[in-house]
Amino acid sequence: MVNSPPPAPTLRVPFCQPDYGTEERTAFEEAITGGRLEGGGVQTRACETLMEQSTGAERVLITPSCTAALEMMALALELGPGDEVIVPAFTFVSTANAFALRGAVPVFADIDPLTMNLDVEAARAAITPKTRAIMLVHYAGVGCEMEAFVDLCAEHNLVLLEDAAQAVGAHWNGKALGSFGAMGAFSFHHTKNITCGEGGALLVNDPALVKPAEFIRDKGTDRADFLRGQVSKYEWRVLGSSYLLSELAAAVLLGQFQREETLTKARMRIWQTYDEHFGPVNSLRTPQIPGAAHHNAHIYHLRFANQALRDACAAFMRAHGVMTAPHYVPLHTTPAGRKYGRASGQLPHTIDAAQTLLRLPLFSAMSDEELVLVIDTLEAFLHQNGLATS
Amino acid sequence: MNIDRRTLALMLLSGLLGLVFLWLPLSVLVNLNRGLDVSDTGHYYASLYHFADIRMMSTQFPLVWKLIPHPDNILVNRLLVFALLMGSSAALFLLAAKAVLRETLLPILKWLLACAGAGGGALYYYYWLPDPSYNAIGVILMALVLGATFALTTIENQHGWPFRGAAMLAGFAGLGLAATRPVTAMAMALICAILYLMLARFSWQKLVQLILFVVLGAALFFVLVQVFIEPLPVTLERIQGGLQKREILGTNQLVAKGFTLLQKEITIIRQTAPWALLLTSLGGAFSAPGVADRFANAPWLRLGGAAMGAIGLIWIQMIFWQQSQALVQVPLDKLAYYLINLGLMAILCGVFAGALAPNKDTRRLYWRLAGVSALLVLATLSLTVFGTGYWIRKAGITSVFVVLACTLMALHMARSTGYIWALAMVSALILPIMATRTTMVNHPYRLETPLAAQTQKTSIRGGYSTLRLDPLTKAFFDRLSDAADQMGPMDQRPILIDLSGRLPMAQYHMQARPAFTPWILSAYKGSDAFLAHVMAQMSDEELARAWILDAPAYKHRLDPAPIEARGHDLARDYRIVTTAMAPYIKTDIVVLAPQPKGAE
Ligand SMILES: Cc1ncc(COP(=O)(O)O)c(C=O)c1O
Repeated sequence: MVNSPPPAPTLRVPFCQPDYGTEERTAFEEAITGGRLEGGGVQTRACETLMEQSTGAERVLITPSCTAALEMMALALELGPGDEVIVPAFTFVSTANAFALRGAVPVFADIDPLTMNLDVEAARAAITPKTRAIMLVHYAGVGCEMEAFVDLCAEHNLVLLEDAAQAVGAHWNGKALGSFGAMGAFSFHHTKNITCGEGGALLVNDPALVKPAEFIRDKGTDRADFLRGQVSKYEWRVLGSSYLLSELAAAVLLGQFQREETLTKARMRIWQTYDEHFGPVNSLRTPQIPGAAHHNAHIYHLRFANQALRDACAAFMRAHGVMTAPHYVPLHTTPAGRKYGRASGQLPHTIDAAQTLLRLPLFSAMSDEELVLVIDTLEAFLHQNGLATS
Repeated sequence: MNIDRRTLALMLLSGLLGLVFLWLPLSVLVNLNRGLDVSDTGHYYASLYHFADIRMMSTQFPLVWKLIPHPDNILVNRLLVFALLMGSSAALFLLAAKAVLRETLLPILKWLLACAGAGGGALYYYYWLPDPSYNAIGVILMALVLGATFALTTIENQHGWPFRGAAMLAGFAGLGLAATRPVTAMAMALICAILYLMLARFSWQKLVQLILFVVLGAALFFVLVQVFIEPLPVTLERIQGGLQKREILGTNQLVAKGFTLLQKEITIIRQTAPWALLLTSLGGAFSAPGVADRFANAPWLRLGGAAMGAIGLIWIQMIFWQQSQALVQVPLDKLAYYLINLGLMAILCGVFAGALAPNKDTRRLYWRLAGVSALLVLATLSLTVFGTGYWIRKAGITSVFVVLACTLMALHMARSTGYIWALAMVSALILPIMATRTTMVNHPYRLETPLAAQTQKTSIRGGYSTLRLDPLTKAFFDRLSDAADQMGPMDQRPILIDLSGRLPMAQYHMQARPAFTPWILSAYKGSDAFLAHVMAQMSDEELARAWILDAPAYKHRLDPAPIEARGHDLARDYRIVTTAMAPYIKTDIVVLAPQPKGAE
């Protein structure tokens, strides 16, 4: 045999891998046995209750995705043409898309280069008379400067919203992320700390928005009131859609919540091991956690001096069986971002983060063997490129 | 030298076994602050605290009469019930051994018996984790009555105070038992009479003394209740109310599904291995006291009969072993069969061993043991035959007596037949016991999660107790606490009408008043009629002030028609104070407070 391919690495470390256990299976089984798989059932209510307890939110509504929860925010605030919402340019599509769908304009502002979270001053600069809300994204589960944003919104009479997609279980000064704004959104997508494949949650913190949010989730009807015995038949009240998660997925989610502590502990151990190894490396920028932030070990990211080095590292890692991932494409540079949104200023930090950031594999079921492989491979790359100085 | 080795082996074996048994109560103790049952236990506490408000009850007397001191703290209360359960059961084991084995027990054997007794009591408690409920009081009283009876059979001098004291205790606890489970108490009286006749040296003078002091003990109980608790007419009224309640609810079947476990066991054997049953019965017939004695000079015949019985027994054990599959995580009802089966095994072992015994005296001793075991198993069944035929109660009570029967049998075997037999007997006992423990800790009664997952500190009834519960149950209690804060001053709290019919703990926790009954039970044939009956006793003012706990989507929800018929519309005239996910019934509940008519 000529030209045989190079030996494949024996161990491959995926970028992420969900960790489902007995609790999830049991809950799933119970859901099937219960026979009611439509949304809003026992398992959904259990998840909502647990989240209300842990976040202190007035009401939590489980949704099919974080994207759906973000869309519900836009509907609940009745945003539309002529309104503007300030969002960080370094975020996932859904953060902006939810408002664009309603005809409002997402205004992209720059991020703080240390945390990749929306920069307070950049947000202040983006405020116009049309601005209705500021949407924060807690990147990597590390909280934004909450006091500053709460003050900023109060000062300009804006609604504070939180895309806490990555921030389940994370806190700022002891208060759960997602519970500061009028509403917050969580994601339980495959890649998240707690997952059921596809899923999300809307945290409603402003009591006045609880009913509208319930209406919106259930096709714009007051079915929730009907189920509580408050009305004798339900009817179409507002503009809504079907934002209910299937009970099957909710069952899996409930199992994950029951194991949340274990899952987070495992992630934290890996995050800290990475940080012990790469935190001191001078040539890399590693996560900076503000004193007030209690994060959830969602992402461990490295930032290289330039894009070429970042891409070379990703290629090297992949060749050795380790999957890494960059993150967002700056939204203001995307076709839809240009069409539906508007950039506030030059956004240099967003561009830099998009070019230099690399996320390492991080999942709770990661074995020591896998962890060692990631660390050794990355160290080998750093050595090869003369970057391993601390 | 030889004797020393034997004694040493006995001491080692008993010491170790004692430790194994002792592990059961210890592991109850470390879990005592975890979990809370929201239904039956709510019924119990609501009855304690609102005794004066309650007009309908039947089996709650041992509690509200404070037969067991009941401090406000649930944890301390559990501790007390547990200690009494363990103490009475340990005493029963010691007294029974003395009466049946008729020998002075070595200290190490006393230790083993006390530990096995505590273990037996603990095993009962496991079935009711987290709360032993008022049924535990029945078991405590039963252990006292039985223990006193065993003691009476060993006391020669009927004029001494030990004899009189034991007789009075039997009467005192017996009347207490009658207030707990009247029909059971009657069955117990019969069983104790047989036990006494079987074991005691009988004389008429002694019997007269016995009856006299039993009656005196019962009279003392009666007088104490009159003086310290309430006069008879009030009690009679309550009993009448309780009977009426049962009548309306349609639960008034005195003899429920009696002996079902036994029936099911026999059915399993009949269907899977009828030959095993036949062999065992034939062996049993051959070995029966009167029959085997006839073949005193034909040891081979006796051996043949006993062997036949033994093979049948082993066969049956194998069938049950298969039935229960793995011993850990077996379905609970199968475990219960297994326990009853062990009790039967103890009886039959005694019968067969008696047939094998070399001389008439030893033979008699074995048969006495078999007889006592049979009575104990009967006692178990009699306690459970009447009232609800709920398997968990059967299994729980069975466990105490099975442990006792098997321990006695093992001790006797160790003495006269050898340690191998005893060890085999005890091992057969220890396995299902440990399996029971594991199963119950992982699937505690009516709780959603294993005891180990009950970790969240929760304040109950505004801080009367702090327990560790699972997060969902904690959320339920926290929300009810917040709602209760809006109920107004403690002495003017309104009635809480529970339309879920399953959550009497809510009313206790919120310190609301009960609706004349500690629990409006849903899911019975006559539940809706019972709600109507309760409502009929409520004045218009009381109803207008009453709060309502509703579970609109719950399949057993009580029909609010009797409330609406009096002009209160649940949707229009009430506001939602809080909503919560209710544990146990796993459905959303809403707490409703009346608001002025026409207000929005
Ligand atoms: C910041 C942010 N917002 C929203 C989402 C979308 O979440 P989902 O997939 O649950 O809709 C993500 C997912 O990666 C995210 O990172």
